[in-house]
Amino acid sequence: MVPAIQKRTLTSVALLVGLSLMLGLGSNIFRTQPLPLFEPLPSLFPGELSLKETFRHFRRKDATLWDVRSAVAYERGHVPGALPVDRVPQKGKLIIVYCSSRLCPKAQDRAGELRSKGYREVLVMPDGIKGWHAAGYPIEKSEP
Amino acid sequence: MIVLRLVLGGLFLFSSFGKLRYPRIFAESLLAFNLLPAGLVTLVALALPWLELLAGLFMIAGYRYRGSALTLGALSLLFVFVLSSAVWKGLDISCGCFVGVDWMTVDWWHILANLLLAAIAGLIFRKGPGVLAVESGP
Repeated sequence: MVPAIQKRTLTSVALLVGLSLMLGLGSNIFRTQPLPLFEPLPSLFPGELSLKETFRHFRRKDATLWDVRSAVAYERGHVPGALPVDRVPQKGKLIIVYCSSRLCPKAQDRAGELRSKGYREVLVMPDGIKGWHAAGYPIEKSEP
Repeated sequence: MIVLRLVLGGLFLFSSFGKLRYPRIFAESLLAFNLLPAGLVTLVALALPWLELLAGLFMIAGYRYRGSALTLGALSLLFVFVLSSAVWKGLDISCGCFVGVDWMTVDWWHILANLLLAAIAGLIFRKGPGVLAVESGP
């Protein structure tokens, strides 16, 4: 027989786990981009560009790249020609926003801000500068 | 005891915010550990932050303190296991502790910190929540 206090403890844990599952799954339904359940995470979501596609735009010079990392990180190395975070890109051209890596949320945030300001063509390169560098694409360093 | 409750609950509460806001990024950081099947990563990424948030709130309020202490202690020990496996494998990855802080890579300090959190949870479980709690001690 489980003592009353232990029963209450276990009930509390079950309550916390149950509520968390319900809230987690429930909130996912209302997301603009729900995460797929019980299947691998896609590498790209709508509104995102692969490194290869970004490089294609970079070579054709038909997009503005916007580096939304800190100024210090930008100076250490960025995609050649990319704008630093304090220079908001002009409208009228495809804008590709990137951050440090897939674990940095700033690119999505900044892209969302631009879209809400009426920018039409805004895409995110989720792999960030780390992915860009790892793929062997060119990096430019700012002079101190 | 109230300070320990605030530290433990507050840390988990704070850690849950980024994960709740960016579940996909949290899922990506979980994938890097190579421990979960790809099909389960999303479920964990969606539910775990809520568990941290709720257990953190319960702990701060001193409500169902034993259940929340057990949950937070178990989570801390789980993180010890996950981080240790990453250090053992020599993975140079983000610890995933706080979403948006990708420079915080896995190391022994994070493992020690989680062991300390587990010890705090154990202490609260045994000694009770202290003053200013919804429930009184054992």
